Amino acid sequence: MEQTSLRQAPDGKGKFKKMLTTEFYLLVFLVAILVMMRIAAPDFYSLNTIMTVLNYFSYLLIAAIGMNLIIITSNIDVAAGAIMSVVAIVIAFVGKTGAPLPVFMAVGMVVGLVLSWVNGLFITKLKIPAIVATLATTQLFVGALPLVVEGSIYDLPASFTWLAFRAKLFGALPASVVFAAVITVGFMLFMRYSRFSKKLYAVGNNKYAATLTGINVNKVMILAFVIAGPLYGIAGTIIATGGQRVTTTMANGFEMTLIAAVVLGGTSIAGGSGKIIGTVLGAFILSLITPAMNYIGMSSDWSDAVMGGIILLAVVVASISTLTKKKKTIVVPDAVVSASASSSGEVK
Amino acid sequence: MEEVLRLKNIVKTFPGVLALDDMNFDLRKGEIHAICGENGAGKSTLMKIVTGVYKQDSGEILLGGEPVVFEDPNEAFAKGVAIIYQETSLFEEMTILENIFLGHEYVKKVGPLTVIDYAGMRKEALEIFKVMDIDLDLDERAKNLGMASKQMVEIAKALSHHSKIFILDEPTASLTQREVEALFNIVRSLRDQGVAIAYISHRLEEIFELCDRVTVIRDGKYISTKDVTTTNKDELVADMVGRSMDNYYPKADVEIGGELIRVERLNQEGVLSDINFHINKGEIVGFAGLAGAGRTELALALCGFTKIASGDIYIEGRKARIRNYRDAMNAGFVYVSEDRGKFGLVIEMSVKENITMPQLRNVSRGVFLDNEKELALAGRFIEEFDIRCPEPDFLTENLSGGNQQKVSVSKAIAIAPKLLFLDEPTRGVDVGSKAEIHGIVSALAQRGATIFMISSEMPELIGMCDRIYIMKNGTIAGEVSRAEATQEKILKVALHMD
Repeated sequence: MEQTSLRQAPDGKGKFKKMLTTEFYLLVFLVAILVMMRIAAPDFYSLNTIMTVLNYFSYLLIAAIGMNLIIITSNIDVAAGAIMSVVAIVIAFVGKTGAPLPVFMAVGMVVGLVLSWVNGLFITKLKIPAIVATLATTQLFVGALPLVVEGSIYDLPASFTWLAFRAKLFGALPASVVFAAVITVGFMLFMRYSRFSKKLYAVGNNKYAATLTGINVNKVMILAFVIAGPLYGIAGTIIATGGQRVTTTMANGFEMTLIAAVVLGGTSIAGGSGKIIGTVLGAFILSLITPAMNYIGMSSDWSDAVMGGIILLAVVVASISTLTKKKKTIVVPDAVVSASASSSGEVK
Repeated sequence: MEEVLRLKNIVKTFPGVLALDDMNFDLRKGEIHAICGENGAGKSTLMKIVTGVYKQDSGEILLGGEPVVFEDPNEAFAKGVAIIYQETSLFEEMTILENIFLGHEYVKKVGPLTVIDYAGMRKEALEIFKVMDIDLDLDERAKNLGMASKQMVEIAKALSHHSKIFILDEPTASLTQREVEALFNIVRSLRDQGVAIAYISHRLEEIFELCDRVTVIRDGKYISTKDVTTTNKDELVADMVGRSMDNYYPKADVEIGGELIRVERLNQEGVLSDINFHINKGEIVGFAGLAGAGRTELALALCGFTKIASGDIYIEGRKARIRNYRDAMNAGFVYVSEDRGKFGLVIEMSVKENITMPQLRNVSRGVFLDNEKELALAGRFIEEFDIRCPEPDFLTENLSGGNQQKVSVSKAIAIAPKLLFLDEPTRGVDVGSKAEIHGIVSALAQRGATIFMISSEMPELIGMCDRIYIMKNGTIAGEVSRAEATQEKILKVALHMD
């Protein structure tokens, strides 16, 4: 019998082709927007605009990282916006007493953790589908706030808005951007070097096989929510401290932007895939849309439609590339195999 | 040779079924030991017990002479027993490297942190690949791999756990001939390195080419263990089949009419090739073959569920085009799935609703359903087939398997099909219901229905059918008439001997 061995098929893919990932295309798209703005509206590159974009980007990104972890486990969290609204109101109560940032941000993180944990428990222990559970808790959180607070909490002290107006690195860079940078780098390392991150992906890929590998699927899912919670807390804190008045609806609906950033960043809504760097790029692109449109003179009424168009384009491109991708098979040397030519013959 | 695994007097029952009855098996270091038997003989159940997926009711598993109890698959895996399933359980979106080491990643200390040691895992993975003589890109995602490569990754994964016992469950089912050769080389080299391998297969050629010993099981019972050098195919087939034909089949003689359907040169890429057959009016025609031979696929293609690449279908002499199931139903075809829970019934709905579902127009007045008409239609079948439910509005999920199957068949017959496709009509039903279903099938044929019957139970086919086509590898490999049908004849063709 001749010796055969299993060698991977040379797929004609060079190093260059391997670079053509979702992240690469997003980066190209992002650079294209930035170049276009340079030509179409040079005013866009004023320090003020850049810092405004970066501030929005920072809290969008922090919360989107949390959302990304949840989506990787093939769950979804539509309560994120509502949780951030609750966080905003709670820290406004605390902040009104003159408490400093570390105190009320810690409170915000704890509130985010607890509420998100509750979502995780509903989904795992009671087996309620994530979309249903978080939709219900959204209504509950959003509905409860006006019962506690009438409209808004206002006349907040300078200690409360310190983060937005005073805390600047080198006199210009908002501290929120520093938070986002530290958190992002931390999570990129975490997703690469922690064993837990592999479990997140495994659970999102195939729950049953994950169980057979000894992974406690429920625990991993709950932890995804528990990690996302404090991130919502930080994002909610940045949103709330942007002004002297905190309303009860401050972050309502923000979850859709988070999900959009995650999906745009290449994370499959089916779970099991997705990188932090994709979410970073997705969030950055979404942060640019509204201000960029203002500068080129389009009405901001268009921004939602444009965002929708971009997301649709991204998912269509992703879907086409999966549909056309060929499976790799092993090559067996000088293979000439007659295609199952089975001799038919009647049994006598 | 050193014995590494022994199963002693294993008994396993599922509700209503004795799956394993006093089963015995032993495995030695450095051997490839085949386990063969017909579909449903208990091969998979046996392996699921060895790997801790199921727990036996009684009997003992000895691992290296020590009795062990596996609470779950991880425990078996940790003790060095690895199973590689026909369908792999890789994580599609993860890389080969991540898949191999999932759950036992190498870690190292960086300051106070414990981080994954990619370099270490890479080195180990390449070592394993070297042993296996394969070369795959460790950063490739599993979803981009073909079936054979996926199996290689599964084997590499097991080697990374230093497994000493490998169970391969029909590993060649979806591989090409060339890939099979490559797999065999790896399996042989594992054996030469002292790994013990249990090889489940019903491809006799493979057993003689690859294995050292072979154990035959039949109907959940241990039959024999032999050295391959001291046995031959005929002996194995005789062991697999046994001699019993003790079931009762009420096949009535029916006058056979003219040709109802004729299929010529039907092809479906990679699934069915050059299928030619015909069925006459009033016939019950059986389709025998091993799992994966293409029987269900043929029925699905004829009913328009899947597309055919080429070939002609003639119904009553006229060429027909069947593009979807609606076309098939218009031609008078009805398909009853083997998986009644998934495709046959809406188990959350009542018996009445299920039976009337395909013909709501006939039980309606205008746009509204007419409850009396519904009850009349459902009631007729409940009585005729003796479906044991307290009332027509009873939920089907609360019925026994046999009664569910009767509802499934009723639903199909209610629209008076010309050609009824029954896919494993008695799978998972108890003996009593089995006989009743056979009675129904026979009565249908008497009333002029024509039946395309797929079954893995050969006595059922031999007992019920006028003719039997035998399928193998997606084509029709032979045909036997009622008079000449025996289990040996069918199995020999299905296994492709002579």
